[in-house]
Amino acid sequence: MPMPTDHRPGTTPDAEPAAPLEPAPVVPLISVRDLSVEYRVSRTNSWLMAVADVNLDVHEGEFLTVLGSSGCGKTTVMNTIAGLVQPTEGEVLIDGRRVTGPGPDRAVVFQDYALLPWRTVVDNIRFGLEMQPGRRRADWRAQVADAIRLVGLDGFEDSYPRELSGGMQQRVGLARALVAEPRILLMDEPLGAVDALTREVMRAELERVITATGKTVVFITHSIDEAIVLGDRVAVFGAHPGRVLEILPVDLPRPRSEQGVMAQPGFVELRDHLWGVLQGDARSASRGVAGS
Amino acid sequence: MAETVQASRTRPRPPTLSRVLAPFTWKFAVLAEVLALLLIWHVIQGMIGVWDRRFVPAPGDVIRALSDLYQTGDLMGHLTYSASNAAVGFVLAVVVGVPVGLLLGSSRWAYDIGGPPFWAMYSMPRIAFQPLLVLWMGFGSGPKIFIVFLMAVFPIAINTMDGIRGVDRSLVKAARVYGAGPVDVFFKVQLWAALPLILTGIRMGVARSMIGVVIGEFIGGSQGLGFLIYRKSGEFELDAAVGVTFLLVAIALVGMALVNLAKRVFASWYVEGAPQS
Repeated sequence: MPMPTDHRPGTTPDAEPAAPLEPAPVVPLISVRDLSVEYRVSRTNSWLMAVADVNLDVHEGEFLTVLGSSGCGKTTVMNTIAGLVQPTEGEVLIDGRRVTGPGPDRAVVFQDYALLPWRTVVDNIRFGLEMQPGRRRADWRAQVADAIRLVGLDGFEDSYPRELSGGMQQRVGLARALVAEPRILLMDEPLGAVDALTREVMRAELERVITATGKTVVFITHSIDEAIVLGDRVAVFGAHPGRVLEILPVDLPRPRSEQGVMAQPGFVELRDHLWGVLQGDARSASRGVAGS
Repeated sequence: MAETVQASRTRPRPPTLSRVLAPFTWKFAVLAEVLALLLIWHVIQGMIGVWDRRFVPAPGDVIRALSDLYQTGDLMGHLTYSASNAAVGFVLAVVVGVPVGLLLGSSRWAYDIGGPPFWAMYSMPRIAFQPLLVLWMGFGSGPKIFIVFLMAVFPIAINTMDGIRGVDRSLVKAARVYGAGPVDVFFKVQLWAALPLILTGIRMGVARSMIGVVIGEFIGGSQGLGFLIYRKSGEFELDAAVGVTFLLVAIALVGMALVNLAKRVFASWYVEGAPQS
């Protein structure tokens, strides 16, 4: 006789009624499974392994930072989640469904901003809405205005991208992503091309804006400080081929982008640890090259 | 305690004469340059008399010859004939060249199949083609329009092709992320991004059209500004020949200025890589 699958309270008399409920096994919002990506290098007509056997889970509402040196394949992983790159092996699941291409549940903020130079700030942000079916044209104006206010672009509505500084251009990129109301925000070194001072300011604003929206974020960076300040967890990537070296939680109180936080013992400890992991990988990589 | 410094002014200075005139200084300089060149020409020719006046006319002679041509009523007829042939050939070149460039630039297949004949036709000396065109199409406007088309279509198609190929791939990527399919990517990203180069090609096409008109009327022509240059040179009226040549240059310059105007209207966002003053 099949067991009844009834979980109504009281049907199992031997269960302890006062026990706290066990959290149900949560399905991760993003699940990267055994992902490998290979590229064809047309110049030498050979294949390059960009990413090897990456496994990564990101839960709803989580801010995951991906830390690694340049060219370690972390962008490839992000592009696969975005649906821009097809896996050679393995798969990416969003809410349990396999990713086959871009979708309205995901938006990307690019390192080089990728704004359309012939569109003003307003029209660039609007692009996030234009392509999505089922959006009411009548609501566009208000939605874009909200996004502009949120990222602090007031007064620059009719500017062209080339008239803005790098930091301001990236605000447009962020607004374009937010206005599309994705569940997942993919950010590829969004502060990589802005100057150091603006970077600090923008980092604080990102923490404020994005934690307020409660979105699930995958944030790629090669800055250890940035990875710790922003991340609920940090996934450390190694290079050649790109793979996950370690995933570790950041248990520091928010907001973290305030003065003094970076000097706290917990922060320093994490930074030292992450630095050690990255250095270890770099050293073994250079030894590997020297030995071969 | 650190000192805090505040800006004493928060607004730019009120406009001075030099700031108001600043945008025009360059135009004044160009005008002065042209006048200086004419003056040098005039001085060398008219006062020192370096060259024989029959072979190298002075600026005054050229202007006089042009006004004579205008007054006898010859000039306008030739001008309209040439201008209309050039205009028809040029418009055909745009209508054909832009789509051909778009096709060759955006489709690998089209380029593999269409590329070789395209480049073969491009490297063909089109002037050598003109006597054949006359034999095939007669002495009317047909071969003139066709040679204008042949001259203008290639720079338009080639620039369009390069424009489509040079589109920043991260823009295409961004568009795809936000849900653009191939059609939207083409019309909302690639075509816009290629527009400045397309207009550059069209501007080159204007200049080539004027060359085409002259070739067309030199060989098998009996009307038009090119024919006028040919006839006047033969009759040893070099002042008139030089004048009509300058007239062709002026027409080309006006045409190119119109294309530049279109560029400023439709691609105002585009900043050319020219050195900033």
